[in-house]
Amino acid sequence: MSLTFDEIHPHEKGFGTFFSDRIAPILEEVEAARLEARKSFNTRLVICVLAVVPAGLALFVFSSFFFHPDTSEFTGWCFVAAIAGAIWWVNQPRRKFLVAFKQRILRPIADFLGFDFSHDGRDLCARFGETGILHDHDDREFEDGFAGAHRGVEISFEEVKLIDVSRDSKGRKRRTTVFDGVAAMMRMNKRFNGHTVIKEDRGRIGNWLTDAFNDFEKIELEDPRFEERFEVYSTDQVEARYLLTPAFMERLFAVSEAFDNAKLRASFRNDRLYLLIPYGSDLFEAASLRKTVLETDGLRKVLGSLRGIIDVRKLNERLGL
Amino acid sequence: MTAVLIIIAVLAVIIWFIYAGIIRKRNKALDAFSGIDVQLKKRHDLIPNILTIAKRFMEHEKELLTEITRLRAAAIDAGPEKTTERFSLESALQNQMGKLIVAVENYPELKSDATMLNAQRTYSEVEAHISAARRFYNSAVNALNNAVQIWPSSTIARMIGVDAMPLFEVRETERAPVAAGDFL
Repeated sequence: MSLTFDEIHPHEKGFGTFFSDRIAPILEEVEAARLEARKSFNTRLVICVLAVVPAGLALFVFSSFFFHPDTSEFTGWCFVAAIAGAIWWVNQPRRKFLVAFKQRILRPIADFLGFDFSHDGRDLCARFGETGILHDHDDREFEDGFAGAHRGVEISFEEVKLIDVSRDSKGRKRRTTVFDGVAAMMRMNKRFNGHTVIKEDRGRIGNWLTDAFNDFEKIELEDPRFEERFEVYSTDQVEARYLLTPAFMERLFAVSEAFDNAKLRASFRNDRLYLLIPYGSDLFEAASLRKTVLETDGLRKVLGSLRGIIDVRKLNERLGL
Repeated sequence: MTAVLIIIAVLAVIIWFIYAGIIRKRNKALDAFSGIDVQLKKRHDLIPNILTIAKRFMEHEKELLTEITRLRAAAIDAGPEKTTERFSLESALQNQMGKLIVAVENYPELKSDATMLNAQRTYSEVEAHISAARRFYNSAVNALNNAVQIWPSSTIARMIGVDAMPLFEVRETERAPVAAGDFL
């Protein structure tokens, strides 16, 4: 078994051999685990359907005959809790399989590419506090963290979901996802003292209303395409242009296009570049219970995603000075 | 009568806003100019060091080294008053320095000299700052020139004696596309 993957970049050289020697032999075992997990998933699903449907019917009949306002709400909540528990229980084999797949397959691949992989993530956004690009949120979820160095550039990234928690008029909690995508951070080669922020363009009125950067000056840049998509604010006009070279603008544009024209945000702060790339789907999910892992489409997709994010590193190269 | 007074008051406010806008734009352009000045001085200070190192190895580039020395002296002499001439000299100086950096490639000993490598790195950094300062200056001057040349602000600019300022343009040779593939 092999995985054809164009080894374009230096860190990808020898990937074909690595895959044949290290990953292919494990895939057979992982495939057996997938079949086992699928069987277990299906069995649990059948058990739940057979148990929940009669239980639901019984509850309906019971509450119709013995309706009481005090007990009916409690009974209803019990039913909801039972369904949630059943879903969790049915999903366990799938979840365990996906975690095992990442540990056995994705971790060595990340290792080969020069990254330390953490399935649980590292809460990278905790370091985005002063960047000015983080959406207002009350809770966050993160997973699939990668950290490493490429061509002397330290780079870390992970999948992040930022959640705003509010309460409706009846006091019920409502969780709204305000950002779903990738957070990335890298150390810059250039030295700078100020703070420069790049955000999505919100149109004339939107930009005028977004007056969140009182201490910042608006930076007018030469690239009309870039100006159309992004708004730039900085504490230093010259430094902002030192960082946002024409080549950088071109590359940031390319990164945005690589992620379906994502309205990304970036911030230069404390010798680092921070990026938030909205994407909305799981970038590093290479496996599924329904599809054999022996076909390597999922892995190829993940490798493509990894390459796309590693290419963000090019933003840091000394071009266009 | 009241209507006339209101119209006069409104006109006065509009004129004041236009006047304040022009002054603000001119001050911003002057501020940007001083930013360039600081960066250009860094270049002027660095060039003698690079030439001193280069002279030890580059026997066949004497003409180029002499030209760089001449352009540097002329750019310093031009001062901030002769802006257009100075920008032209600075542009020519940058062009010649670019040629020198390319010529270094033909001298393996010089190319691997630690002092030269360090000087080249610093020069590259200084050029990056000059480029950024120039872009800010051109952006500020562009806004000022639009105000000075488009009516009705052009009339007010003429009355208060604010003129258009020259752009700091780079020579065509410096605009040659970067071979991006070499860096990927």
